[in-house]
Amino acid sequence: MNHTIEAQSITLGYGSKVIIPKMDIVIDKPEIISIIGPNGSGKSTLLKALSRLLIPLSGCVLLDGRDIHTLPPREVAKIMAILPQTVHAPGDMTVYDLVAYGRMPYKKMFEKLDSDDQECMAAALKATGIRQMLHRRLDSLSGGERQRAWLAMALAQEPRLLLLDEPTTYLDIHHQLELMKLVCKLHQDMQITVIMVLHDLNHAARFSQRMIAVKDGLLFADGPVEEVFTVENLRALYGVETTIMTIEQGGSSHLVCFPHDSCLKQKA
Amino acid sequence: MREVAIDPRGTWRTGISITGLVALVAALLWGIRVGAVPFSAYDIWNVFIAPASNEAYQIIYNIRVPRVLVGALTGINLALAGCILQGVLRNPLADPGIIGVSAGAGLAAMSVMILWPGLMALVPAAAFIGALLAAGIVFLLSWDRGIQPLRLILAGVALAAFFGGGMSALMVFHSDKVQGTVNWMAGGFQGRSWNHVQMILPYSLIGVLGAMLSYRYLNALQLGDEVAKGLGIRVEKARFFLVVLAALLAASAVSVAGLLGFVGLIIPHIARMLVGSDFEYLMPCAAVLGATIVVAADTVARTIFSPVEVPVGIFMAFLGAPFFIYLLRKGMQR
Amino acid sequence: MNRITSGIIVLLLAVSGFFLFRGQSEPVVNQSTRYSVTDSAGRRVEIPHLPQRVIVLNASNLELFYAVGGKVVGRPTTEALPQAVKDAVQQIPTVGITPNPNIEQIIGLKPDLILGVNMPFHHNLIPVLDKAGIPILLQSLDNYQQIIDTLRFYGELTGKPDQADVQINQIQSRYEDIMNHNKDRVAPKVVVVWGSPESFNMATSRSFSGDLLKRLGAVNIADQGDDGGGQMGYVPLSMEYVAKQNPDMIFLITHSSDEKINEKFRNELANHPAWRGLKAVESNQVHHLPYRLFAVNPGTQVGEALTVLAGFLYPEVTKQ
Repeated sequence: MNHTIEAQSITLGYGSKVIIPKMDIVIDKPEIISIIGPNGSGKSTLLKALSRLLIPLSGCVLLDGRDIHTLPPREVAKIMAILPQTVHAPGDMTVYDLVAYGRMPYKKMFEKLDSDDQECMAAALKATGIRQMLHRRLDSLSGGERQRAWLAMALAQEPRLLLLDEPTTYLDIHHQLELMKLVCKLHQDMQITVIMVLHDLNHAARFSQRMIAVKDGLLFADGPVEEVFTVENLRALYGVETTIMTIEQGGSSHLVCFPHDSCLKQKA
Repeated sequence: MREVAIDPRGTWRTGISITGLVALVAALLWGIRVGAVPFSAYDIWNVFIAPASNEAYQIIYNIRVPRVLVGALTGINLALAGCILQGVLRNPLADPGIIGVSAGAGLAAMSVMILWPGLMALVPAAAFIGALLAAGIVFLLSWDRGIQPLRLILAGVALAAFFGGGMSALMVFHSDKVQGTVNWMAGGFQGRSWNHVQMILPYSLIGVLGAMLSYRYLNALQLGDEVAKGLGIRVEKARFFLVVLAALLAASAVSVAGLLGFVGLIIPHIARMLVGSDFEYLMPCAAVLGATIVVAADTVARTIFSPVEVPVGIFMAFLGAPFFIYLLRKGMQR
Repeated sequence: MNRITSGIIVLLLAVSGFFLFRGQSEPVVNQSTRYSVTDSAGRRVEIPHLPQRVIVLNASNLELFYAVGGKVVGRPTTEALPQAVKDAVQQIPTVGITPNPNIEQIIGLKPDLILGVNMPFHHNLIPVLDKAGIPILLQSLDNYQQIIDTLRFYGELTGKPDQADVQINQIQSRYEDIMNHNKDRVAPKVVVVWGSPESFNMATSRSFSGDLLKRLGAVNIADQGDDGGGQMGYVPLSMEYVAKQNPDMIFLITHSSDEKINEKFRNELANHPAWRGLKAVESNQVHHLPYRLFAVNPGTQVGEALTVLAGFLYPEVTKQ
């Protein structure tokens, strides 16, 4: 089933500080979207608003046409899963415990996990490839394995929308690649919409279909990767001169940017 | 997922549970068996099956049994309150006093004992009300679209300082009456009776039921507010109810036991070392452990220098210090 | 497994509930005839006419009780007793220190009356003693009159009112003697400084020593400071206030009988800059009152205490 998430003229901020004066976004089909932009432009803020973590100062966020803040949190959690930038859990929690939390939206107060839940968890673990680590403590896993455990938890929620805030920041190149491939696979197999905030522009270009560029709290560009990922846009966004190349690999072509030595002064 | 069924921690946890329960029952029986006046096991048995109006009956039935029960229930309440607060505030140093209940209870009890000594019987009730009022003030001060953990801690500290000043004032201006309050301030079970059992029992029940209902939320809160919200939990509401539950548990314990420190702080840590930080197992383990340790400590405290009784609060303080040093060293090694 | 634990906790609670509601203890039947008295805490208590098994929980009451020929079956652990009484009660079992009486031991001695003080640590015992059918009287000995009244009352309790009268007369005559001699004397201004390790206080007329001084006609500067609740027997010492009032005489009382501590106390006061300028210091009218008669309640020795004070206040007279 297709879920639509829409931001209608939202203003976002913390306290009296406004980060995003006005933004409109519509996401109505399963695709992989990455949000890019300079530091402090409001990428994470936007993601938080879409994931119900931040209440807009004005405007509203609609999930399937209904205001996301009026929907029961449980119902939203069955549709949408979020993985924040920094996560922490008690070190002695096992992978099994963590993934089981993904089933919380489906359980009432006293209900124990039943066979459906177990199947769901099994599928999530299989998809993230960490089934053999089921009873390992989280603090005994590597960074990459831990990130995959968290992802498995998000998947156990059986989400149609997956929101990831800089999921690859603390991973090495190997694990970054693995995670991104995993995300792609999930999208392909389960038709999940993935919205990611990414720092690494090349990852964003390579693994997503649509790109949303945010600058100074305003929507700078929103469209297919080839249209947004241009030298002009990157120059305007980051104040950096780049060369964009196409690389053929694995049967498809990918856009890659290479930044030049000098940095343009940021226009005020 | 066939292989999931066997969680390697399962056996260990069952073992701990059974040991804990055995220890608790043993502590209770031992507490009834020993005291300043010696009785044989036969005498004690008789008190229950063939009660007669003699001093054995008075001592066993009206002094020791209620004392031991009040101790156990206090241990349960304080341990659960400590677990909940450490979980909600995500702070390993949180203890029931942090939300102001000790300060409120202390000031209220001291005021009654010094200013209206004729109303001594009302001290537990006054302490209870004082505790809840103080906690209420702390909640109000820390409210910002929900209870914010850091603000709660700061507000608690501020309130404790303020009420502490009040208590000091009472001590200075009524220095001849202070001696009477010292026992209560140290925390102990001297002279506790069935009245006290009656006072704390409903809250222990509420606490245990509350803990059984809420462990999932406590666990989810450990994952961080954002993840918890992403899992569909109403984080502010959950935190509010949990802190209120902790306040009730702490207030009821403080009203019958005085300012008994360290239990709410240390017991959750020991329980965590034994069964891990999953609240589903942590809370029952802490409750049983709390009850056992308080009863055992009280029994030692009242017999070791017989006939002089040492308030068990002093004992717990002596146990607490080395424990903290241990935690310190463990932390340094990491 | 947590189910087991939770379940057993619930069981513990159920057991507690069961004990609670099973019905409170068997009612205790009292054989002796009883009559009603009111104690210092304002409680009406039914006590037996001639109690045979009395336990006294503090030194002052014990001393008074013995003075009228009373015998006890339980006593407090304390050093603050006159030697004669100490010897007499040597063999009597103790029930703990005054602020921390052991309720089990008390009940184990099967008393029919308990005498305690009007302090929270004895108030605490009331519920349990009630259940056991043992009456407890909370007696205060805060001033001269209460000592006289209590002696009389204990005389009734022991069935030796004559012995009580003897004691009372002894004290009263001493008192009247002193009063007569000092009738027309000028009342000196005094302050009583009570020192304990952590603080210095002034005793008002609501304290025992203050009461004696008031009866002797002295003007206690601490009384002017005490306009508060009127409850306070002691107010914190303010050196500036003392300097301003400049009393004729300063009395010192310390909490301990140890001479070293007393020395320290005196030195601490002497070191205060305002101290040397005080009239009383210059004219050598700083008197350290004896521990036995002033730091602890003098009880039957109250006449002695009065004599000591009179000796300081009106020295010319007492020399006669």
